[in-house]
Amino acid sequence: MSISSRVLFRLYRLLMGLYPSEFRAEWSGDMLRTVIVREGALGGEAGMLRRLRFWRRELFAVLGTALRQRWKWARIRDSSVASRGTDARQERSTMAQGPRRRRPTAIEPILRDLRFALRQLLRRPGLSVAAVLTLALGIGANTAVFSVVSGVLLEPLPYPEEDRLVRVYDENPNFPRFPLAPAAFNDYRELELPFSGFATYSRVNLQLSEDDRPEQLTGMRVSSGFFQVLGMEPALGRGFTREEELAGNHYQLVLGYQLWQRRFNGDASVLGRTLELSGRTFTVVGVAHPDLRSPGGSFRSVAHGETVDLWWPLVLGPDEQPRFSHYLNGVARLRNGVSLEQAEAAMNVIAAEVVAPFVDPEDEGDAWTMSLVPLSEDIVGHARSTLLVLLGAASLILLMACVNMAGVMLARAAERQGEIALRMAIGASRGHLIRQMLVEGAVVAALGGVAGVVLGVVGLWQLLGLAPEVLPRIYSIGLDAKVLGFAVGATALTALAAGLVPAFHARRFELAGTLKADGGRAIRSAVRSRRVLVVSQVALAVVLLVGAGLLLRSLVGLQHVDPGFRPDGVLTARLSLPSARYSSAQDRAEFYRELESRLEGLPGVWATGVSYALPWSGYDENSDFEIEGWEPPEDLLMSLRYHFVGADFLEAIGVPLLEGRNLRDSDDRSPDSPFVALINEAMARRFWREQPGAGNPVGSQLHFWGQVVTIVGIVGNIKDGPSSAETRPAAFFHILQFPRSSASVALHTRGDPMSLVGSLREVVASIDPALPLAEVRPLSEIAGATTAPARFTVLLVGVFAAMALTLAVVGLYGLLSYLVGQRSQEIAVRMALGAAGGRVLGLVVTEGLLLTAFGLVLGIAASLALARFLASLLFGITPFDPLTLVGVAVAVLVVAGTSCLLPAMRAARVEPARAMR
Amino acid sequence: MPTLDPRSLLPLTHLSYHVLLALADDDRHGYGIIKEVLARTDGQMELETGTLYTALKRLKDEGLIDIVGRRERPPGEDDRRRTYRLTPCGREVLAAESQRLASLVGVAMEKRVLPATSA
Repeated sequence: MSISSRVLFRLYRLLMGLYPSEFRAEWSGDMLRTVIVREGALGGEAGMLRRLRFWRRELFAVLGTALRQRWKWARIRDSSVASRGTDARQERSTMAQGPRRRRPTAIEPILRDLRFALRQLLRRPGLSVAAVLTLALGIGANTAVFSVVSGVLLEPLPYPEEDRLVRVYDENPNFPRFPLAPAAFNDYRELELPFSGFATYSRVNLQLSEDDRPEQLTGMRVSSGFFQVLGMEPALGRGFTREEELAGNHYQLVLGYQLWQRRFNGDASVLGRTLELSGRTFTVVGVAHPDLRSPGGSFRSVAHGETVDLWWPLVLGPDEQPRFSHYLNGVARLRNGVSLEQAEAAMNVIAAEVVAPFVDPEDEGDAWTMSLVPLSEDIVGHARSTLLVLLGAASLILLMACVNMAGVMLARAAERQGEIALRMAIGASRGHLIRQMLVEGAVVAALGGVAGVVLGVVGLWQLLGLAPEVLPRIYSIGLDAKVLGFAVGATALTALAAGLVPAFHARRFELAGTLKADGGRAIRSAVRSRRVLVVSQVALAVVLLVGAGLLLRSLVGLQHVDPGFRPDGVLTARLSLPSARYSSAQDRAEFYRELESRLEGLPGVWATGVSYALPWSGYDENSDFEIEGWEPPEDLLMSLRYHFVGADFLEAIGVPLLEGRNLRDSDDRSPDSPFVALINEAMARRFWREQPGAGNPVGSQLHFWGQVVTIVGIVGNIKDGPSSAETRPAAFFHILQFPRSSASVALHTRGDPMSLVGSLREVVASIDPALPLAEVRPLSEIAGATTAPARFTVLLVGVFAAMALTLAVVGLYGLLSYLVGQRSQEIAVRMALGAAGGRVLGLVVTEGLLLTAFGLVLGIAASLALARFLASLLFGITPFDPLTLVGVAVAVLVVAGTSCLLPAMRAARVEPARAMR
Repeated sequence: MPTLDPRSLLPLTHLSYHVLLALADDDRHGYGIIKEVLARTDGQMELETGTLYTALKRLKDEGLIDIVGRRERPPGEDDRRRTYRLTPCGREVLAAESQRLASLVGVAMEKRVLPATSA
């Protein structure tokens, strides 16, 4: 005995322990001797594979029969307990009579079928593995993707009556979805609102130095009523009162539940204790609800669902609060019976009254309205289209798995026509056969289901690992039982339905024909069904491939876009000058000049500048203008996109100066200093180079906003947005000459830009300690975030497409192999009559390519019909991109053609003499 | 052994029938039965050892086969291997089952499902 045989023999003996002891006592010795003899009879040089196959059969048989024996003995013992009073000898003899004496139970025949089914599956391991894997892929892919979709899009937010929660924004032509100003919020709270609760919050972190373990904690300052609005009252203690919004009263804390558990071991006596945080003494008044996490927010907040360690009061009055400094995230709960539209209309009326005394009705930048967005939409809206496309792709995979399953089962059915006909002939009832087929389908479904769940879990991990920045609400994503149930159910039903086909096809009167295996009606119809299945598989795979191809081309396009600026090594932040303190243009210009000059002095800063807007941040403001001394043609739209920048801003973000000179600090609002601007290349081309007789742009003068501005230089184009194909004509005016009330600042450094955050804050505070910095982030984050969803989608749809193509090719290969087997006689006749092997090869390949071509045409038609759903995710190409369509067609034909070759070669090798015997 | 009406055990399972048939012309040990069934079915039916022995146990419990006593074995046989033999009752049951199948085949021929010559 070889070592492997010895190990397997030991395993065999171990498994024999499963037999009831009564059975073992009488039979195990002889049984072991027989196994040894049989193993020996395989011969010394029996192949490894043959030996392993022998042991596999033997081991499974022991397992199956042992479990059955054990079950029988248990039944006998039960019945013998019931018939007490018989003596031991009689009882023994009852047992010896075996189970035939008792009434048959319903489960017994099913167990028999189960064993039979397992044997059938083991007999054709290739086919069985294909079936199980197909199911596993379908179930796994769908479970993973549906789990994400369900967690992100479908699951309600974790707040009671979450559908009544809205995010409240100020809105203005310059700032869609802008945070709220504290003074206005205070005014709103005094009025009759369409809300049952309205709160604001803003993130301010605190340093905890308790127990010599200093820790930076995520802090959220909230207005009183915040916890009630979300419907999550503190688990212990209380929330904040209006009085605690007064400066000096505000050193109160509600501990985050997680922090309370982690730092204070969930000790309730923490209430009333004082804590030193960032040099101040705070009193703990409560512990937050266990499920309360950050409600998200676009401004000074952390992403929705992230842990907040500390909640503490916002200082909101009643003394003067900033009216033009917008930095509060607003959240409100709609009154019962009030719709979103009604609430928004009511808030706009209220807002107009509240804001009216403080704004210039002529200035469109002062035209504030309010915008309400459902909280869930606000949090997950941007991920929706990506997720829906993935959902579509996963559904196609599920469909594909069902089709494949049907194909596999039909193949089995056709193979087993003979067996089934024979069994019906010798007395098996149709009902019995159906039951057996059902059991077989159920076994495949169960195995596939288990493998599918494993794949689903692994797939979900992979998905979550890939997509942190793409998926909001990642914390709420878990393996979704409903989804799992659905996927398992759908595929299992297919398996069962397809499993029944052979039982229904079998007809007694076809017995003779079927037994002779010359292709009865049932077989022909099964082949027809399989052709249809293969065509639909190819079609489904083509749809997925076209989708993946389009997304890939789009991503490649995105990644090759030259943004026109250098995102690396640049720190950006936004600030807003309150008009109370910076009422005149001169004040604002002075602030920007001071800021730029102090930032330039920071070590490690190469170039720095302020700008009204950053690239790719959604900025889109345009204005009419005129060119001095030039009459434009009628059809030329005299519009430019205007920017206001400090002298070195463009240098700081890496936009090259192509011609002329840069802006200078000396270009200012003094009377002898002319207004100056830079224009981009697109503008130079549109209004000068493409216009006959327009002269040189540098030195030309523009009329803009009532000023005459001299163009002093031309700079490179910055793409309007990450997914826009072109750059509009744009002018960069000097921010010292047009000082706006808000601006972004950019600092270019060699190392990690975030290392400059502290210095930046210090510099800003040294000029104006009350001025908050917002949206502090590297420029690369803005630039990179724009391709992350595309990368994520391409990867997933690509994986699905590869799966689909594999399934389709396996289906095609299986069908052709089967047909070659079926038609070996016909092929033999043809060859006997003189057909060359090449001709036979061509015959089979043609059959395969014809099916593929049908599928291809259907698939491309379906892709074109479905393409519009992808359009919003595409960049630089249309959903009807001919290159992608042709590429997919060629790839599918090549792969399919290759998969036809193997069966075709087998056909060409048919020996007429043998096949016709 | 209780006496049984052979017909009460019909129809036999496929497996039981083959095992009894293998013992019809000779006493055999376990491996012998497996080889006989394999040969008789043109290599179609290769019994696993576990399957065979549960069948042997059932047939013995039903009184259709018996274990051959030591003294009855031919000389020179490895005396650790057991040999199985059809009981008279087993032979009756085998005959009854064969008759049942034959009459089924008869019906099949009458209805021209099978050509008459194959009998």
